Order: sequence, then structure tokens, then C-alpha cells
Amino acid sequence: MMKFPKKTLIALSAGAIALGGLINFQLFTKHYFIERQNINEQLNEIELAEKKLDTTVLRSGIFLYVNQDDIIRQIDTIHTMLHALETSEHVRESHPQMTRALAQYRKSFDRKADYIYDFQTANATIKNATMVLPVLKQHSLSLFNTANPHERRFLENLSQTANSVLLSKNSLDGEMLNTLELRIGELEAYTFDDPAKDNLNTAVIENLKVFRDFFPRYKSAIENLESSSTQNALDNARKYFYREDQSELMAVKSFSYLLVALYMSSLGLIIYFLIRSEKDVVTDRLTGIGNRKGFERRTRTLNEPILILVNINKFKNYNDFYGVASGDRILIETANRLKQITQGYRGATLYRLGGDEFGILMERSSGIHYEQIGRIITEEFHKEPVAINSNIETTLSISIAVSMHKPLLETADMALKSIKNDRTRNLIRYEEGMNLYDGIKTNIEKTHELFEAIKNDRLIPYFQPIVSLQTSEVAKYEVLGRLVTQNGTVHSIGHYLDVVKESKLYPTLTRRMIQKSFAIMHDTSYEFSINLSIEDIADSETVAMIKREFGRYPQIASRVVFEILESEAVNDYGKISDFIDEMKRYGCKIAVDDFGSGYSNFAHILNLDIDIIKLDSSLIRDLNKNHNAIMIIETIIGFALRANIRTVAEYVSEKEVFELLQNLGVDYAQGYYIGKPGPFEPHNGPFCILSGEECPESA
Amino acid sequence: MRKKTIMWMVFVPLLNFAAEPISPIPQLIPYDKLKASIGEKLFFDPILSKNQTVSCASCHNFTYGGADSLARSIGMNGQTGRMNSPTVLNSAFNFAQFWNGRAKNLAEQASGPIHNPVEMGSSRSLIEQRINQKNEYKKAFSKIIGNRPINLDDIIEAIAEYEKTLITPNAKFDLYLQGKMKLDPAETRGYALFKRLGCASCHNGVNVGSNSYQKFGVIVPIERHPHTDDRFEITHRDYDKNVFKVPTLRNIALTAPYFHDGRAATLQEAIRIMSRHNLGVNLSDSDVNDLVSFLYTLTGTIPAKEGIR
Repeated sequence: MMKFPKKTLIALSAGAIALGGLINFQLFTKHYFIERQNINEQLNEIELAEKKLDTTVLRSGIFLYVNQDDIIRQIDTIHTMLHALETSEHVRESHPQMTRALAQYRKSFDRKADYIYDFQTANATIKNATMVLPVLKQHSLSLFNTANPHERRFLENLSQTANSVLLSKNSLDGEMLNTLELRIGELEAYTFDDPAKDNLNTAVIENLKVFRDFFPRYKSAIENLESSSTQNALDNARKYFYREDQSELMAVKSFSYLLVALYMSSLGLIIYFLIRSEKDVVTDRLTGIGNRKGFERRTRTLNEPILILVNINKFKNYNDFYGVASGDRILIETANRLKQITQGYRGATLYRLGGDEFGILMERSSGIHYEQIGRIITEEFHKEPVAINSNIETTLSISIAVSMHKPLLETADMALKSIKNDRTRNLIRYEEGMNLYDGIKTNIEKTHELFEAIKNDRLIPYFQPIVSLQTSEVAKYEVLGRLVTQNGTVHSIGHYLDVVKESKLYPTLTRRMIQKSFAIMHDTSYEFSINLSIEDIADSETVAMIKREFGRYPQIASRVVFEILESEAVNDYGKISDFIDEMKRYGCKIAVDDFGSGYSNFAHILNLDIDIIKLDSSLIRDLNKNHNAIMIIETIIGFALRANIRTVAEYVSEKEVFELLQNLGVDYAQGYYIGKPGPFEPHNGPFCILSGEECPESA
Repeated sequence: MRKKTIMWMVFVPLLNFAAEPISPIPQLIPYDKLKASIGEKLFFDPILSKNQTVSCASCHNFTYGGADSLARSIGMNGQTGRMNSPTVLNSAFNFAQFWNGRAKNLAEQASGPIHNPVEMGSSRSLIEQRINQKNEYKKAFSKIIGNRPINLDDIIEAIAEYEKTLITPNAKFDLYLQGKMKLDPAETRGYALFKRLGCASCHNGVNVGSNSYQKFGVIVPIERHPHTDDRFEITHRDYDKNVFKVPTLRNIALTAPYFHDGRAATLQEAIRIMSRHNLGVNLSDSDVNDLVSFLYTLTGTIPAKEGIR
């Protein structure tokens, strides 16, 4: 019984763990994938935003009218995205290296922002200068006279310088600065009378100087921006992310493997338990061999099955005598031995079919010789005793029945029963004729009749007259139990005695008989005898009832005779003796039945204070032809006379016997010659009226 | 996040005026109403200064376009500060705060004057102590921070939140950009000049400036005072001397005097100085007037002292 909850507990725990694991896994992987997606996206967004920023910065270098808010806004956006990533709990917890790399990126990006601001400063200034120079150039063409060589040279200088400045702006050519200084010097050397021309020159020089002063910063800002390590830092961050992600993924993977393993193992567990329980269903727990169910299953699959039924004789005794533990050991040992024997035969399977019954099942066509097996088994158990415990051994007695007729178990059992008490044989084969089945049917019918009779009060006493051999008059009656069936047939109780004993209704029967016979006889003057068995005498209820009846009918006790079987009197001397003493005190008489049948003991008769001896039928039947019987009877009479004991002869069926008995001096006679048992009818006068025969002369 | 939103709100309208380097101020920037209402109180409360005489509004006065009328502001006990007070109006659109961008947002900026001995001369502990004794502040802040004591960061955050509301949309130029108004000839000429001369190279964006650092005195250098909060103070690079955050031209008509040291008393003067020193151009009077006309179109709706919109 303990196994059941434990198995369930294991299964339930495994299931709960798996379920918890599964839910956890679900959450974890979902979280993992979402986070991974998010982080990936965020990193991509940052990279994209930086590229956009680069573009915007570039545009501000190219285009004249630029809204610098864009640059600021994009720098701000990157900061925000970076902040979101850095402060994400998941990132901080699961990606420490990535977090560090992000901090690096922030540093490098902030540096880049500073470069951008620098660039903005230089760019706006240079842009303005760049815008002005062409205007001044244009203006100079209208202001200056190309005819004048001095002015012409100035124009050329101006043009050349302006052009090279504009070119190098785009080429970031630092070399240009060297020549620029020279050219500024050259231009500065020019003087003009016209203040407008001078002013123009001054303006040009001023703008060139702006260029000269701001170009280095412009160039370095751009170069710094170009070589900015932000991309590396971001790549780094991404690299660490993937690396750390991998380990997270590993966790996910191993977790999923674990789950699969758990699933497989619980599946395996389920299958195992299923197989086990399937096996359990057909396995006998004690011995480990097949059980009745397994036997039935296999029987159905065979075409012509043969069953060898092996039974341990008187097994119950072992249980009772040595205890159930020893009994179990015997069974296990028996099973093991039988298993060894059956293993040698292919197609033979062993089962435990009942408490002490084992069966070997095989297909007829397998050609296994069952007689051979039977012999081997018998020899095995005959040769080798079985250990009851470490000290005690016993040699088992085995009965074997073989059957090929369905239902196998029932027929084999029947065959087995028939040799149960036969000491000469222990092996029998069931044959079609053994219809013990009918026996069972009859038992059931009879029991039914018995129950019906008891219920409907159809148990009645019959009375058989006993006549005095001297007076030829009816002296008393013997009470005999009768059962009237539903259709009115009268049967003697003897017919039902086996089912009476089996159904434990015997006491009821006796008591019913006693009550009824007392009721009928109480207002007569006849003596009447009632048969009692040792069972009745031992039954305190019955004895108490008898005493009650005595009380009910005063003065009936002196007319009551109790008939007891001699064999029973001998066996249970003590009980009988006490009972007899008690009854005699009431005034009853005691008769011994079937005296002289074999175990006659005069001493017992005397000790028990018997009043009447009933001669055994073997002595009376054919008395006229049996000399030995006459001798025996004479002896008994002699003893009886001296002991003051009356004698009764039963089964008197002929006139000759009757007369013989008269001559021998027997006191009473009973039998079909005198009268058959029937309902009570008082008889007066000689018995010959009963039989309708010619009355013999009185003795 | 706030800057991003601001910039986004600016950028969307800009899509309509992709060609123009100036974009209109949006009607509204999202802000926290609860914090801003407390911030408003604090902005005008001299409790934030050591001797309780100077408030934020002392130097950032709406009557003077969110600045004051002095060349350099005067703080506690009549001490003169180092720089001309920049306007608080539309300061939410600045890419950095202070003349040299040393504060990256409004909250960082608010901390500056509070601690500056010349300006408000206070300290964290003093302010926290005083504010926590004032029931109206305790009650107001309790809705945001619960029962814990108010700290300086809460105060600064509230002020910054309030400053977000100090934007001046619906300037004539903005309406022109949105196609709702036309500029008159002088204004049109002025804007054309503004672009052609190269003013728009530095003064662009929603705040017509305030989105880059540029040198003051490109063509003709300007002398540098020893105590100037320029980029050199931060970077210590020689070429960063006299490089400042480009100031906004919004409401410029109201915020005289001009430049970091307030050297120009009038807009005309400022324009002439800019064109001379930064562009190398001597403008004619009519050009200057046209430019002035244009600049006047950049004056928007000044917020009321009371009442958060």
C-alpha cells in the first residue's frame, strides 16, 4: 500500500518541478529574446543616429543657410538613447562588460561632440569668409582697372589667392597655409590712392586672415571627426553584448536541454510505470511469477491449452502451524523450483493460481510431455525438502492434476479434489466423465431446498415405532428428521446432511427437531428418542434450549431418550459424560447407537451410565444367516442383562429376524417390518396392526 | 528627454520651412504643472539668496526681456557680476547654459547664481533649512515628494520646470514663417541682409542663436577682459579666448545693453560692432535700419508674471 502514494508523490513532484521549470523557462526566454531584440535595436539606432549626425555635420559644412539646431538635436538624441541603454536593468545585470564598453562609447562620443562644437565654431567663421571672398572678387573687377599693370597684378594676386583658399578649404590641404601667409604679405604690400580700393584690399586681407587663423582648427576638427573612435567603441559594445548574449543564450539552450531531458525522463518514467503496472496486473506479488489474470490472458491466446495444476497438500496446516511468514517462504520456494523446472520447456509458463495452487500452461502442439513434467515435479519435491526457516525443513506433499478441457482451472481443480484423500496417487488427468460439476449443482439445489424448508417451516419430525419384543406393543418412538420439499416430496435429513453441515445449519436443525417433537409428544405417554451428535452436545445453545423445553413441558424429561453414536462417545468422552450426567438428573435416558460396529467398548458404556444399547445394523441384517452375529448379540445381551441395560435391535425387516431376536432376548425392535417412519400416530394394541400382517404369537 | 522633446517640437514645424535657417517657437513645451507652479514661486522669491534680497527675477526680469538693463548684473550687497545677464526667456532652447556653456541644462544653471557669492551667495544647507520652515513650500512640495524634507535638487528642478514655460511664441517673424503674416519691405530687406551678410551662419535655429560657440571678434579682434566667462575658461585653449555661446536674438529689442560685457547700449550699435568685428563689413545706415526692423520682428509674447499657462 505504501508504494502507491510514493509513486504518485514522485510523479507529482517531477511534474510540479517540470511545470515550474517550464513556466520559468517561458518567462526567461521571452524576456531574453525581447531584451536581446531591444538591445540590438537600440545599438543599431545609436549607430544610425551617429551616421545621421555625421551627415548633418557635413551638410552644415556644405550648405550656406543651415539650422544648427539639427546638430544639437541629434547629439541629444544619441545621449538619450545611450542613457536608456546604460540604465536598463537587464543591461546592467546581464551585460556588465557591455555596460563598461558603453561608458567608453559615451566618453568617446562626448569627445566627438566637443569636436563638433569646435567644427561649428570654425565652420561658421570660415563659411562667412568663403561667402565674402567671391563677392569681394566680383566687386574688385568693377573697382579695379585691368589696364593698370599694378592693379592688374593685384587682381591676379587676389584671384589666385582667393581661388587657392577656396580650393584648399575643400581639400583640407594644410600646405596651403604656408603659401597663404606669403600671399597675405604680398597683398598687404599693395597700397592704393583710392580709399575704396584700399578698403577692398583690407577686406580681402581680413578675410584671408580669418581663413589663416581658423583653417587649422577647421581642419583638425574635421580630421578628428573623421578619425573618431566612436564607431570602434560602439562595435566594442556590440561585441561584448554578443559575447555576453551568447552566454545568456547558452543558459537558454542548456535550460531547454534540461527541459527536454526532464520531459524525456518523465515520459520514460510514465512508460516505465505503465509497463510496470501492466506487469503488476499479471504478476503475483509474493512469488514474482504470473498470477491468475496472466494465466487467463495467455489461455485466451492459445488454441489448445493444457494446464498442469500443482497443489501443495495441506498447505493450510503449514500456515496454521508455523505461521504465515513461513507459509509465504514455502510458497516462494515452491514457485522458484517450479520456475526452474518450467524454464527448461519452451512455451511453458508458470502462474500462481490460488493460495497454494500453481499452474503450468502450455500449448498442446508444443509437444511437451505433461506426464514427464509431473514426474519431475513430484521427484523434485519428494527429494528436496523445503526450508521453513533457517533451522526447520519439511518435505512437501504435492498433488498434480492435468486438464485439457475448458474451463481449465475448474476441471483441473475437480480432478485434484477427487484424489485429495487418495494416498496412492498424486497425479491425475481430468477426463470428460468426471462430472463433479453436477455435484456442485446438486449442492446448490439441496442448500436451496434446505433454506426454503427452514424458512417455510417444512422441517418436520417423523416417528418410527419401537415395539417391545415381549409384549409386541409399541413402547416408544424414534424421532427422525424429515424435509418436505416444495412439491411435497419428503426426504430424510440424511440426504441433506452434507449441505446442512456446510451451511452450518446443523444446530438449527437439531433444535427445530427437538422443539417439534417435544410439542407433538408432550401430551402422550410414549417415550421418544432423539438423535444427538457431539456437535449438538457441545453447542451450549442447544443444551440450554433442551433445558428450556424441559421446563416448558414438566414431566416430559422422563420420557426423553437421547441417542448418541458410539464412535462419537468414544472420541469425546469428557463432553459426553458431563452431558449425560446432567440429562440423567432430569430423568432422561441415554442410548448408544450402532453398538457393536467395531469399536465397542463395554467399559465406556458402564462408565457413561448408558441406559439403552442399540445394536448395530450390521448385526441385525441377515441375522438369520449370520452365525457370528448371533454369537455377538448373545454376548451383548448377557452383558446388558447384568448391567441392567435395555437392548434395541434396528433394521428389523423380516419376520424371521424378529422371531430370532425375540428368542435371543432382545428387549425392543425397530424396523420396516415393524413400521416405517411417518407422522406421529399413537398406536394401541399389537404392532401387527401397523404392518397389517398376521400377528405373531406373543413370546 | 526634455531637450529631445523641445527639439522635436521645433523640428516638426521646421519641416515646413526647410529652406529657412530660423524656425518658429512652438506654442507649448510639455512641462510638469505641479513642479512649475512651485518653481514660479521660487523664481520670484529672494529667500534663495543669502541676505534674502536677490531673487532669480532680480536679474532675469520680464520687463527687460528676461534679462536686466545693466551691462553687468548687480548681485547681493551691490556687488557687480562678471557678465551681462542672458535672457531667461526661451532659455529652454539653449544647447547649453551660461556664456561659456558650462551648465548643460536649466537645472545645472540654476545652481550657479544660487551659490555664486557675488550673485545670490547662498548655500545648500541654508536654502534647505529656510525652505523647510516655510509651510506654503512644504505643503506644495508634499504633493510631489511626500513627507520627506525638501532638498536643493527639488528646488532647482522646480525652477527649471518653471523656466520651460517662459517661451515667447507668436513673434511676427514666426507668424511670417508660418505663412500667417507678411513682412514689410524694411523687414524683408533686413532678413535678406541677415542671411547674405552671414549673420545667419551663427544666429540660426529656433532661438536664432544659442546653438554653437563662436568667436567674438573674428575679423577685428576684441580685447579680452581678464575675468571673462568665455570658452577659454573651460578649455584653456588659446583660440577659445572670446569664444562664447552665441546669444539668442529673440526679444533682442528688449534686452539692451548687448554683448557679454554690455558694451553696446543700442541695437544699432550692436549691429555695427557685429558687422565690423565679425564680418569685416561697414554697414550703411539704411542697412542697419533694415536689420533693426528685422530684429524687431523677433519679439514674441512675453509671459505674465503670474499664472502658468
